[in-house]
Amino acid sequence: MSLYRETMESRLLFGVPAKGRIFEATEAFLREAGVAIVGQAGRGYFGHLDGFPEVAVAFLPASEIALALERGELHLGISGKDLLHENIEAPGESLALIEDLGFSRADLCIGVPKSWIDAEDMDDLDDIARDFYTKHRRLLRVATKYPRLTRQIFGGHGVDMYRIVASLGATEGAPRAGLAEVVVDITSTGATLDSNGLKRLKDVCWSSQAQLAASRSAPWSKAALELAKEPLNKISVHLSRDGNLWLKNLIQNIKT
Amino acid sequence: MSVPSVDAPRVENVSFALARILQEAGYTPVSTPILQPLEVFLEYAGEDIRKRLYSVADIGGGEHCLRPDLTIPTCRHYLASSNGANGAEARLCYRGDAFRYHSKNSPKPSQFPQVGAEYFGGNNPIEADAEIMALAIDGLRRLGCESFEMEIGDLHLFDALAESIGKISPWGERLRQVFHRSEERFDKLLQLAREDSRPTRRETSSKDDAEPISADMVLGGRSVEEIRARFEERAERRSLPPLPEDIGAMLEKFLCIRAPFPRALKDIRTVAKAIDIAPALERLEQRAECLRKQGIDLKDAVFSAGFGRRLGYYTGFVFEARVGEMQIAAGGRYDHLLQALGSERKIPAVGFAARPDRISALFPEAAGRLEP
Repeated sequence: MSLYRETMESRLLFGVPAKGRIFEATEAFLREAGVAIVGQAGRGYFGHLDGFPEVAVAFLPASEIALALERGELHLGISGKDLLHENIEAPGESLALIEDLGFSRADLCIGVPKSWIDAEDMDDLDDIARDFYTKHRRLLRVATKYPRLTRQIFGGHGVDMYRIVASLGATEGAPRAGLAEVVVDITSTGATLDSNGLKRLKDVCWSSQAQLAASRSAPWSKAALELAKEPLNKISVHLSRDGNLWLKNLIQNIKT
Repeated sequence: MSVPSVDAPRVENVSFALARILQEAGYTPVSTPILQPLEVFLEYAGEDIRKRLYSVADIGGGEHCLRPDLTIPTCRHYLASSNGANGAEARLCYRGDAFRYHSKNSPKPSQFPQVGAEYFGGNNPIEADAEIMALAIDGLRRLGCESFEMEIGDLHLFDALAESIGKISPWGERLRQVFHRSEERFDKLLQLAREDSRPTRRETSSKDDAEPISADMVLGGRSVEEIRARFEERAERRSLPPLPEDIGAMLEKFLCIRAPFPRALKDIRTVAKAIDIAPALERLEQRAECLRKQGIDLKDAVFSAGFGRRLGYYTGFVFEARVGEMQIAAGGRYDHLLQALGSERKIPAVGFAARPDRISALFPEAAGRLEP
């Protein structure tokens, strides 16, 4: 990462997801905004934005973008809201959120077995979790790739009789495999839950989408800020937003 | 409120002095491992503590954590002793560091000292409550803490109230169950209990509407009977008549009571006059009397009806000593924990823990007059 630091004094470093659907959507979005990515993930470290050779594009896994923004190793980045909130302890403090981008939408849902006809909402889950502990002398297991968000959501509903089991692969399959009772996962349609014999609790729907964010701790030199102006302006025009307001907020939020 | 700076030798001095006061009062010092089995804390500590755990994995696949408090380790120490195995009375004290994770920007230290005492077993809980609180206050005073505020509560009081309500409305038991959960959850339930929600109840709420379930579905570790039983219980609750209006209003007023102990006691009598909770109130007075005999007057202690609802494993009397917003000592009764930790018999327990780091920062002269 020190390579990035050296680059960051004279260039603006912009992180975009390296692969997957969010990569394709980001690429299309920037192209439509008139700042297409030049260069390809996997072909050397950096690409750049079309017309802005000094705005270096770093291709990184989407979750790594969150961490790099937190550490100040990128000036700007696009990632999923879910990943920003899962990977960063206090996104409100270490990042300056610029805008929701409207693509890569998905919801973080709580999935319970369809057979649980007594489970409709989080209050039911709270009761079931206590009941489960009393009857089976063990805590309800919640499989997820989002432990931080799960703790926040469960805590917000006062649910505390559970333990998180880390899920690496197909989270929704965990209840059927007997590895967990409940799952917390991102779903865009709910079809995966359904085919695994699960249903969602209706009062939790944490919506995620791609977000454009700035790092507050990155070395924001005058040159870097100047380089950010025009690409941000183009993106704001594309979204019919006020680019001057973005810039004003950005200057207020960053440590120069 | 920011955390005052810490002067290590002074903190050590306060910690040592308080431990000696506890020992002189007849409490046997025990030392417990810093490294504790993770499983125990995942299961028995409240979520507030759980999210603050430092967990440690060893190369052999074992999972441990750094103790987030010294009460559970001291309980485990007691249970492993012959006294604990027989449920015999024991007075133990401890001093040592505990570890809790706080976010990067929090001024709270992640490693902090605790000195405390636990009273296990015994057959006079009121006297035991008073002994522990008197020990805590006396300890603070002898250390040189000149002024601090006391707040007390008694979770048993709400249980008694709910039990009495249970005699006239089926909502009583449900309110008792939910009292110890989040305040939002309780408020929602109280509102639901007061409304006549029968006409608007949801479609799945009727027993006959139960969707068919069978053993070949994904059951998530529960049996078909277990699921059906809870479904029916839940449907039944939705067809209950509402809680009588005066009882609902009484509960609301009761939970707002927060005043110096003598006035709070009067307020409780006034608010709950329609309900018989005389035995519970008598216990409050007996405890106050016991404390008076030990030189602790509750006239300035604030009694709060809702205090202690979400404080982890507490089940009855609870108390806290504060300077401004900063807690310097806290404790209470926890009658279910030892059983949850594996004891075959029910063993009553009450204890407190103090924070020598905060005491020495707030009272620079603390322990100065005591010999090192």
